[in-house]
Amino acid sequence: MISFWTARRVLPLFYSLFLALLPLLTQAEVTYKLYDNAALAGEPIRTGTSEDVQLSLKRESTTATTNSNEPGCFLSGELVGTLQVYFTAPGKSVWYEFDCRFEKTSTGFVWIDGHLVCQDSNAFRPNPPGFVDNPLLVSPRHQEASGHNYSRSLPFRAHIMSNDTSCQQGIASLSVTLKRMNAIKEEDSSDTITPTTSTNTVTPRRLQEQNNTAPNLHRWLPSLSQAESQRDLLQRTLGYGWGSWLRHDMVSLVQLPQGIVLTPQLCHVPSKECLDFAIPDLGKVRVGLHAYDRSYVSYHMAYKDVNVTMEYSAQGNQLYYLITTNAVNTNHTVADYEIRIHGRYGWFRPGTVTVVNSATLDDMHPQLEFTAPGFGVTIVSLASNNDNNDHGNLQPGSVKTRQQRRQLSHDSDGMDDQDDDGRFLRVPLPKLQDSIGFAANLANSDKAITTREIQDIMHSKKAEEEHRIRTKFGPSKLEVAVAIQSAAMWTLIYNPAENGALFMPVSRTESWSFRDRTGASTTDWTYVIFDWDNLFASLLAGLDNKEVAYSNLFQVVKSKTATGFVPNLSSGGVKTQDRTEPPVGAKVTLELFRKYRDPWAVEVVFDDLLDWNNWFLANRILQPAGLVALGSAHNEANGNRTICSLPTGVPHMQCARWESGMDNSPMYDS
Amino acid sequence: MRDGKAAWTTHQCMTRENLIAEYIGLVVNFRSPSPDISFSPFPIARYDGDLFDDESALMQLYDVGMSSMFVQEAYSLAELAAVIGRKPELVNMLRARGDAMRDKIASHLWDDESQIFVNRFPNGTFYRHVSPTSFYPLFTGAATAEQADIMVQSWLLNSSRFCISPEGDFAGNDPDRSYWGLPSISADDPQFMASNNN
Repeated sequence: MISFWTARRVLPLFYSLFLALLPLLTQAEVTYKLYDNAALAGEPIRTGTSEDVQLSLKRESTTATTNSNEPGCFLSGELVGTLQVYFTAPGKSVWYEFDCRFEKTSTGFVWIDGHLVCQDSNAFRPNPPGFVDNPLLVSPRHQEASGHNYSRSLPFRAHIMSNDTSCQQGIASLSVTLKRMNAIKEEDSSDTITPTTSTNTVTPRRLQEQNNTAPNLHRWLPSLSQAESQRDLLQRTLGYGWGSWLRHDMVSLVQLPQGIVLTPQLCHVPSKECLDFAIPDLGKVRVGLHAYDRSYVSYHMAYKDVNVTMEYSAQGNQLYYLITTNAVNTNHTVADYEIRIHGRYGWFRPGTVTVVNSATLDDMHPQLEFTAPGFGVTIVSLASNNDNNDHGNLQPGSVKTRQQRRQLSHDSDGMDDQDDDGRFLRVPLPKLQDSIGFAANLANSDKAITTREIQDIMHSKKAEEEHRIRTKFGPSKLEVAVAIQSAAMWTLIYNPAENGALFMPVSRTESWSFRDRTGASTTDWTYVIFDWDNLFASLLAGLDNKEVAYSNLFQVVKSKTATGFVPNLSSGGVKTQDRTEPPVGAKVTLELFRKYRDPWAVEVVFDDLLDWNNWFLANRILQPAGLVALGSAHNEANGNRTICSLPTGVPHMQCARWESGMDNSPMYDS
Repeated sequence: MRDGKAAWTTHQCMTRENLIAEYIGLVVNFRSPSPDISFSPFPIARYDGDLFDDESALMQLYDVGMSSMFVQEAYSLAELAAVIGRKPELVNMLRARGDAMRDKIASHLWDDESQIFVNRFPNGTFYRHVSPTSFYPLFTGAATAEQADIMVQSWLLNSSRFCISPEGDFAGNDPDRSYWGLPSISADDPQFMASNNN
């Protein structure tokens, strides 16, 4: 029997031998999945493992799949796996620099352990140094947490898409290489049981590439952990169907995973002006009940002299939409207004939008047709004017004939031309207290649907949702429950940069777009995640919907910085590297666990939350009492040290105040 | 009993609906925009004083709210670690970590004169600006039952401090209930009227 002391001497020798042999024992191996749509949707057409961390959307012909009609490329692909990092000494962190080569992609992201280490600079401008997690600091786990601290397993994901459906511009691809960097002064991990006596001075460091003769101290494994796989499954399942998923527009509806954006605009004809989007800070929208499953959603818009109510019901890919005129200024007439239903594809997704003239068709249904590779056709039809199958409201000549149909390929700039009749369906605003409806993906697209039928659907779905809430929470809590649920759902958005997940930013207002900081190329990509505000949002959603709560929790916690804390804010890989916000992630996770009892969800975030708690001990302890204080500091990989993630002019203390999460609290005014 | 949480959750001043409504405010539209400041739309308030030390990169003030939330996180992590089968050593370490910080809060941040927990300078001087974060030690068990009762009666339910009721309740007809949510600073603090952020 080997004694404890013998083992303590012998095991490090075995470990050293293991490290020396590691390059001989292992080769890079990650799993690739290739899709014939541009959204990583459904089952992959091809999947396998690769010895290199590379991904190409080239479609290699095989005997089984040779088809002359097949395009020469796939339209999206992903790599998944685990990067296992080994440490040469206990408690010592290391830095990795990732070099990602994107070729011909329309969208490309690489995440290591949730850190967005690379993007192809199409959605966002090249990330400014100092604000992103590349180079990435990798720290060992606590000895108490893992039994050893010689290695760490990091989930790896890469997503690339192409909107070049004919592959004429070349084949999209990605290759990832990494360099282990030696820090002249390595960070010590905060492996501490009780608050430390740290002086809180973070040592500047410089990095240099590891000697070429040194062994590779990492290896790639071809799968994600079970918990991370469950996370992907939950997030992709949640992001399916119609919803108000655009950050910058509560009016538009998005069909996921296709990325169809459908915008019913309210236009004032004499002035040729339209209300083409609505967000809270511009005061044009008042939100109403929003079911978690979008079986019933309502909101109200005021524009110039009219007030309208919008309602929709989404059931899978089917959508029913109703617009009702509530009020109009007596000096004006509804005849001055019309509804224009625009269509496009978002987030650089490829697809064509076609307006079809009902007048030349037997079915008499004005339609927008959306066609995207790999998804087939989505048809949006105006409802007929109740029971007579008549589109009496349709303005003559407002819709192009089939022969005049126009194709709007790759129209994802989010900036519609108001004068282009070919882009939208057009119908006069209904008279006071009257409605007009439209629908998408009817079970039988040739079958007419009337506005009255859509009214009945709305009435029924609204009653069902209110009954569900009343039954679950009791009549006295109906109003509060509706308010909480609607607040949660009206902040739920989608962005491919966040693992293609749904999450709940603090607000949808333009003020929180952070477009100027990330250089987002279109408004589709704009968003910002805040730490504790968004964690509270998970707590709210968790009262009644586990999936929304989890998806948001994962994205907020995974916005952590390389040094281990969840930042004040994060957007497109750009983060406040100098400061956090009040830590409530573990508390929120615990409350969700107590309600839903899912250990896998705890597994997804536990180590990140532990890192965050450790970080406080190493960076936010003020002596001599050893209590927590607010702060702001960031040591960049190049050795620069900054206080405040602000270029100029903001007092350092202000950044520390912002860390409190109570940004302008008079508490910190002496 | 060191657990003041019961007092916090059962007090009569604020209803659960009030709290939930406050959360909704956080989520939906908590901050106002300001396009002027680089890298942040946060409005920059004009404050007196600067407690920030560039060398340590810390505000020179023990923060009762952040210290308390650190404890709450450590205790929550301990429970979560057990849930997913992490080693007992980790669970024990996290509990010990929480206990250590909780005891420091109890030892250093209770202000006998104010009868509540407050922030404090490293030189020992109490920083007597009482905000809702002064109640956060109730989440950690740092307060004795007696301290918790005093905090609730003297501060939380005190209409001149946190149970403000300028025009009755939100509907303006119930002077015994607090108005909407807690103010960001006690109403008897000079900053309450001086600031437009309360």
